[in-house]
Amino acid sequence: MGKNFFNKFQENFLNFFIVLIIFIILIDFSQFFNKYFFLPDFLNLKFKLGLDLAGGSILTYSADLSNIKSEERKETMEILKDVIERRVNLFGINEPKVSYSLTENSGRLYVELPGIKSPQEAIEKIGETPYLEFYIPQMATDSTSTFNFVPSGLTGRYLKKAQVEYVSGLIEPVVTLNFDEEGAKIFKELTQKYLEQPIAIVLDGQIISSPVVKEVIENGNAQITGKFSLKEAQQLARRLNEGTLPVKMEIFGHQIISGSYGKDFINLILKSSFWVFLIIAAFMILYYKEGGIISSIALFVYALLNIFVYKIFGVVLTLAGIVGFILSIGMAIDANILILERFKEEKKAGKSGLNLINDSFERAWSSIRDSNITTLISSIILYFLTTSFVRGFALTLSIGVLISMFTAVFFTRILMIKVWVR
Amino acid sequence: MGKIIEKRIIFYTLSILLFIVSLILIFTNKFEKSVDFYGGSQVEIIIKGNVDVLGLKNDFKKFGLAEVLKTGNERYILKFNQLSEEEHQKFLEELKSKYDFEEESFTNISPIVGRELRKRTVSAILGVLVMISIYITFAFRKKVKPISSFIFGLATLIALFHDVVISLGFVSLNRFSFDINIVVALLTLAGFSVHDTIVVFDRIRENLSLSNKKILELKEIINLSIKQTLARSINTSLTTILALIVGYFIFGYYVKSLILTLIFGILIGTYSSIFIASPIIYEFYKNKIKNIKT
Repeated sequence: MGKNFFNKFQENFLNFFIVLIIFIILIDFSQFFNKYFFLPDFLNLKFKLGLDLAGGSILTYSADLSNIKSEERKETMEILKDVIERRVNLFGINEPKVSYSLTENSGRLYVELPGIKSPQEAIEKIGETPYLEFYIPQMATDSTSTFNFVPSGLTGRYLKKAQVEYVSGLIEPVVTLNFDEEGAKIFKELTQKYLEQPIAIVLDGQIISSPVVKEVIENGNAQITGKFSLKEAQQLARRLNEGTLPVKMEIFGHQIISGSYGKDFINLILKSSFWVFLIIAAFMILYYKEGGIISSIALFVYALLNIFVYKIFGVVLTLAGIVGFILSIGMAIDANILILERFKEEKKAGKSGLNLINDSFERAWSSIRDSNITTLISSIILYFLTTSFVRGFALTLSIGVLISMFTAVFFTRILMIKVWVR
Repeated sequence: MGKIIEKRIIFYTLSILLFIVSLILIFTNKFEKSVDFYGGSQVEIIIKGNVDVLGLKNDFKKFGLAEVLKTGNERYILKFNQLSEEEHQKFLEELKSKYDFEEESFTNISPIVGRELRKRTVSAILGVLVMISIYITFAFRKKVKPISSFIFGLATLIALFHDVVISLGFVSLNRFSFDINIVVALLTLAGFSVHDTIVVFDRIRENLSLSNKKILELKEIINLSIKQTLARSINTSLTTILALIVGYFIFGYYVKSLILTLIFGILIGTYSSIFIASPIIYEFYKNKIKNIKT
């Protein structure tokens, strides 16, 4: 960073910054200010609390992707996510969230249900999502003339519409399946290949009918003729229309958090950052005197800016995330310690004024940069290791590292020049 | 404080001892198996009044209650083999008839998910150590003659490995449940403990570029560099530990193992960057110095 740039920039910067800080304080403590005078909604931002603090349930599902080509797995999970999302949205829960991740041969689907403390009903309803498949016959490998049904690749994923109909010659109603374009093409090929052979229609792993193909079907319509009552047929059609799973999926685990200790976490965030700031500021001022005061001002701005970022960008705060923030305050001051120690040395060497400040910063910079990068390396790896609440830790720590580059280096430098040079 | 290189055998011995003790602890003490890594179900619960742990265990054996851990005042963790939500609700209903309690959380994780996370965790920890060392090798790539930047990276790797293993020993000694929080602590302390190492290495590099005789004076240069940077090594760790201590008082109830392991790891990391990482650099060049002398 050039010296001229700083000399010009710092003139107006500080005035501008004071205005900015007032705005940031207003946002950070909006709940407090709102008690005394009414704040418009865009100023009165709230913290976003993770499920571990706010309470709720998380359901984890595993989707079997072993039959899906690796390049199509992501798309399959997207489809699955959409289907489940549509289903979950029917529950009328405030801000449910569905997300997924991929592992070796399967996908994981996570359903977050804020505020739901007994998710049994949700589990049942999601479990009702049908998985429709078409099986084709395969001759047994031994000499017996029996055959097995095996999956054909045509699944409910290609289903456009299902409806109940009565056809002539049958007393029971049938469920008519209407495939989309791609599904119709696959179905046509299947009926060509297995003409005069049975094709099984399989729902949730159970064969519900296995009609013999009488003709090649080109229009993408298939009929399920079970021994349905009208009610059963209607129910099946409704379930199919609400969305069918593109792949088999089973529940793999679930988590319920009462959120009882999340009630006053907002206060704890502010309280803990205040105490951490106070103790570190006391240490810095005792040890580094005037330099300690300047660093403490920068650290205060650091804490304000972090909270500001959490609110503006809606960073989801979890318990681990708050610990990450506390830790980051202790780390943000480290850059100032490196600068102030260097400052002492350069002063001893006889430097003064702007040179002294600029050289201290430039000499300390490589250590500060390298330290921040190593912290970012471990945060990023932690973030991608897991999907649990500890992700919040990696997130707040990374945000802290980036903000400290601004406050502990850029802002402190301007402050020092302002205070010590003129 | 000025003669660290001369006394390095003492520090090596101390570290090797700590390292071996940690390994013994890790392999004999066995970690508390957490649901995060082994699957199963777990109920975190506050039970008011006196609890007869053995009686509780017997009463609910039919639900697969395997273990009851007291984690704090009236706070318990109950571990089950595996409970579906239906069974979980039945269990709560039955518990209600006998105890006054409040359930804080329920976790049910498939052993398959646990196994996956176990695998990924091992590669994540090794990955962090290797990537940080590679980064140090890269960051110190120029102006460090006669020391190859590869040696800086290698010394970092050894020190990091030392820090992580000894911190794991600490976890085992305290019988913390080895869960995802411990992994957070290990990864973070790896990223942090290298900070002091960077500061000392940076100074060694700078002093080398100022010195004319270089290799003959390497011992003095390293000693001097450590001495010059001692205050900042200690102060940077101290402020971070102060922050964590405050965090411990406010959040320690929920994340005790995470914060304590971090504090311990930062202490070990500061120690190793001063007393282990820098002497290792010297180890690689002392023979060269002999050759020049003779």
